[in-house]
Amino acid sequence: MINSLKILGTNLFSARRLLLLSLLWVLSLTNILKTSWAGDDWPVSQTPYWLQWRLGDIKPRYVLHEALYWNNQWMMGQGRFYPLTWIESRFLVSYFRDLVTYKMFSALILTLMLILFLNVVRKLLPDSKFVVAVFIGFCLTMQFRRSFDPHFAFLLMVPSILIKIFIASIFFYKSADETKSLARRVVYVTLGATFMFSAFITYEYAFVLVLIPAILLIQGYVDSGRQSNMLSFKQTIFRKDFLLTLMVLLFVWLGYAALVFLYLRPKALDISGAYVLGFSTYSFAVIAEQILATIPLLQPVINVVKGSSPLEPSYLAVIFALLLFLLTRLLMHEDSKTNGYTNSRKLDKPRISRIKAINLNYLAPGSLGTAMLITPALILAFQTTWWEQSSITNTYLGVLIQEMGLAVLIGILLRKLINPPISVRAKGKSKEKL
Amino acid sequence: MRELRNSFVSWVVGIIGLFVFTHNSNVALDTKFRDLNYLAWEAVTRETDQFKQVKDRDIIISTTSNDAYEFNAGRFFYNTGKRLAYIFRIDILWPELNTCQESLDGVCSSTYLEGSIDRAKKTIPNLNRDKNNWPRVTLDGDWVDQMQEVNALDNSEVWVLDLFLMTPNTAVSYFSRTTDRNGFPTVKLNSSQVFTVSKSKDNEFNLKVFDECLVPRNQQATRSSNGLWIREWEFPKNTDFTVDYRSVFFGSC
Repeated sequence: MINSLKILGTNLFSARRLLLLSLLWVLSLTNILKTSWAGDDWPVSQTPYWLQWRLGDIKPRYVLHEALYWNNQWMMGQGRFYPLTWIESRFLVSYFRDLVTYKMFSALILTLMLILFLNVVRKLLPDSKFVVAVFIGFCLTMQFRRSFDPHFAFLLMVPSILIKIFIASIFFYKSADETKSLARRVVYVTLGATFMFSAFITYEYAFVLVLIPAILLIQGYVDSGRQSNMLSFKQTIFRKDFLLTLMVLLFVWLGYAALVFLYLRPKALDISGAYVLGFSTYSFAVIAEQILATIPLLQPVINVVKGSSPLEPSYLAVIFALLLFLLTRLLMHEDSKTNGYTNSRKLDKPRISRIKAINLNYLAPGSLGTAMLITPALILAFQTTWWEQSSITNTYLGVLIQEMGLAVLIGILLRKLINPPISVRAKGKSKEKL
Repeated sequence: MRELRNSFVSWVVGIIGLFVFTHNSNVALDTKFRDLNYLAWEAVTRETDQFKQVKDRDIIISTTSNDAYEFNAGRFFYNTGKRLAYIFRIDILWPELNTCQESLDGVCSSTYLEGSIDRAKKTIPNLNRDKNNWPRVTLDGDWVDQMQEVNALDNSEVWVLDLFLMTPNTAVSYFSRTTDRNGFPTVKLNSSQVFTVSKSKDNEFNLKVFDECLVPRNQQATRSSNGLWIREWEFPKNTDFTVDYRSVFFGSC
């Protein structure tokens, strides 16, 4: 509980900010709880009943067999390797058969995903107000889709890969931070690599999200170098331990690529449909459309213009809007009172160059946001079937990742737009403005 | 000036949040469009006596079943305890129906089509699983294997079942034994069972088949555990004739 509070860079005494955040998130989750089975959830939810009909009982090894049967079919047929999603989804519906319990578990997983996301963001810019600004951005960018929706359907596949990627990123960051024990550092790197690979074998979108742990790894070494040895960025990235860890990361990434493209794809029996890859001028249009599709308000406005659903706000929507307004207002009001003081332990240690601090402030989160916004669109851009069907209203499951990326960029905008320059209180010195 | 700008930004954030939340709420409610299908299936399979004569290894044929949703043999077993050989869609058992020419009465001729049991025996192997997949668990008592043993279906009865929405508020369930267990599905109309499952207690309409109006068996509908209203219907006495199952269509009186 204390750690989750520290994620937001706050403590129990900033209760009103935490209360607003919690209420806003709970309200967001009410829309998840309203949904029924959708998309792939329908057929997969029949798994326990098929198992009972076919095998007479539901045992864990029967569920595992069922999951790996489907994994084998996709592996041998299309050359795809993502067994974890088959295993997770089949166990999920076998033991959470009731819609209510399934949706409550979904809400829990989404909450875990959000906490880890904000933790990752905070590592890149340890400023609690920026974290809150990113949360506000996510409240604006999280939009449900009528076609393929990753927020409440498809058996939590996308939240699952994000959880693993974020955990991997945190471990890679911690490995940089760990200066005392080599054994502990090795453990962190191993755990980071393991979670990263487990994300790859959950769904292929994780393959392009390798940039997230890479960014956290670089930032970890930059922070650590700056803190202890006053190393420059260039000195940091040529450190032996950094290069070794980066090689581990690349080895895992390239290892998965080799498994899929050099071993499975050549043996695949029938690569067809969305799994035929290519690149053309259409790919650029797909990238642009998929990025534009994440803009807040676009989906609601299109639905109103099409006449498919009126925008008549419910009382819950009004409460949500009010709380969001209050949180934004509070953020700005607090900041003008405290003059932008940050509680970062990294920034308020030895004095740092003014210009470098301003440059580094948004570079890392900006890179994260941009990477998350663009890379899922790249996956669709390389699939020939998406060249004609992609549009700003027709997206795919990676849109949740893109929404998070855009939320980071909105968070940067809000932080820069509404707040005065960041102040740093160096030890024994009066406050200095950066 | 800053205060004005901050105020403006807060308002913009609030208003965008209002519409995004409303949009999400609308999309969330749209996912419930199949709820009546699902709840009607649950009500009919769990809370009526429609399937009391069905036994293990029987076959059900349907034009409205869908393995991707709740209308499947697995869910049927879970809800009724009856372990069917399978629930087959009629166009899966007889794919030639998709391409045949319509006869004068508007229904593709079934004269030269193989019987239900013979077709089922040929179709069930499609459900086989490769036993060499990893992990090579021993699947003791694979029901699909058992259905392919010699004489496995010798005592199987063949039934027809359809469940569909007549209106957004009322689903109809039609169930009947076929008159010739190894012929093309034909049914004796007044031996069939019909239930409606409705959101409202009051009768939305009276059912009609072959220009004959059905009558409710009871004055009052029964409330199911999921809040819907179940009503059983009777065929009039002069519907004592046999028809091709595909020609059974429901209207309202």
